[in-house]
Amino acid sequence: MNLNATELAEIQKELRRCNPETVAAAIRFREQGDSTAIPPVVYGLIELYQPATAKLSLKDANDETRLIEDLGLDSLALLEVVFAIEGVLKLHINNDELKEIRTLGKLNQFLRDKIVTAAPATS
Amino acid sequence: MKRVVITGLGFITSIGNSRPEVLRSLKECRSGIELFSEFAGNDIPIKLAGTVKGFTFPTARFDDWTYPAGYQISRDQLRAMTPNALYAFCAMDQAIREAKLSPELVSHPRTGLLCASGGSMWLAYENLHTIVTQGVRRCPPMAVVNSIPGSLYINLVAGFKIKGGSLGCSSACSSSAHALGLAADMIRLHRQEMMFVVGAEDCNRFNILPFAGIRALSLQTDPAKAPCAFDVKRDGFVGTGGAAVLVVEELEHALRRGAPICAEVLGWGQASDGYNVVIPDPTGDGLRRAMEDALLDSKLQPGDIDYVNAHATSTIAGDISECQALRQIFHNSKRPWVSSTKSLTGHGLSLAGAMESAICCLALQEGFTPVSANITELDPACADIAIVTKPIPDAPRIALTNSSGFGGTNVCVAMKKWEGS
Repeated sequence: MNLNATELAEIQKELRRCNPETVAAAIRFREQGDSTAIPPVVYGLIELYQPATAKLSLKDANDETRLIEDLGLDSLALLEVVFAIEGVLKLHINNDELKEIRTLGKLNQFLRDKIVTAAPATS
Repeated sequence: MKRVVITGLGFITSIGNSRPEVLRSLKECRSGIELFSEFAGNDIPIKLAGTVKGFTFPTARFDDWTYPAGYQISRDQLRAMTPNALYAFCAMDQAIREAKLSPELVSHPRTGLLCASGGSMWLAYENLHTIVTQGVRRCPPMAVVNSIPGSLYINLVAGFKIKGGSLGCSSACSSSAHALGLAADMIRLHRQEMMFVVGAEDCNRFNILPFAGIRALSLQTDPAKAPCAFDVKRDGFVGTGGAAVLVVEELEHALRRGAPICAEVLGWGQASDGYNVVIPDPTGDGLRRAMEDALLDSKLQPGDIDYVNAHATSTIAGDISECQALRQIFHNSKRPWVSSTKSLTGHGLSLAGAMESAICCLALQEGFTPVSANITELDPACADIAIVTKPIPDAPRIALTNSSGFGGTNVCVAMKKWEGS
């Protein structure tokens, strides 16, 4: 399903500080439900919220990389990332689910599982 | 009791974003008032504001904001800020440098923080609008901390790792004067060695234009003519925002570390009108009692006072009420010089008391009497008050600064030039 102009503008606004690949991935996910588009969106948003003092760069990260301890996100930054993901991908992560998300792999897997049960809404 | 001195100042104001800029504006009578782009619409009858230069807030998102070069603010410090907190962060940075404070002294159990702000009505609006139109799930993570008035101390305590007592004052336009008085008391009682006193307000249509509801804002369109406290043509105040910071320190502590001392806080007083929610008591009784309290607390006589920085916002009722209070205090003594520096800066609301106390520090330290700008025809009802309508050579030694706010709150702080002992 193609996104309308308003929806495209919303995505571009939310991701305006991300690279074009992140924006394209978000649109691909929203239009096609393509789960391979999730990691580029997640990476793009974490890159935006990661502090300069983080001990690990995102380019050296893998599925085991811990969001707080390794990537330097504090709990508020993690909430900001989740808030942005929810806004862009139109998925909801509830409080209990949030507690379980500690690594990049968990976050990506969680979002992939999510779309099996709930196709992305294009409200 | 311990003695209290001011050892550092910071300014983000309509008349300058540093001590030298503010000093120059005051001495040269340069106004910070401009036609404000946010008030450009035909449906907005108010046109002037004391604009804060060097900052932009194009959207409610902090990562779109810009601020002057030279301040180091990390993303995690900026993300929870309001515009007023960003102004205050920059003014804190200046005050810390001026007071020559090490990071260890800034973040010390004996160093506290007293803040005053009305909060960001803009961000409160944005956050609530999002919740109402998009649902609670789209409530931004920082929606509480960047909406409430406490946002100022929340951001500064975390940003500067403050370890001493920290709290906010909320008494409308006397808020930061209350903060200075209470900070002085905390030091006199030796509960803290040092306190940062911070007043800060946003400068936008959301925190200024609501005053149009009580017709308190000037409708003047020429920035060279308003505000004009004590003038017959005054028609209301001109709003402003920004931040002012004072480092308030126990005297012996300041002397031991060789701190640069700007002025001494001799004492302060406060009293309420008990009269009306917004209208000042026309007899000036509440402000008179606050000034009497300040004189008593400071062991001063009315004749000791050289200069009064008046609250004088340029409203018709407020200026007359204050003149009544001044008249009652000084009727049997030497008449002190009186001016409204709001006629240059605009009215900073919760920021006003801290900004004007800091201006008094400059006047005492640098030896000049600030002018009450834009007076072309002094109101005959103010004629017996020694209002500074043009530059004079007198340098004050002891000054009072008055602040009054909605609800009839009144504060007066007494300060003395630092003369080495």
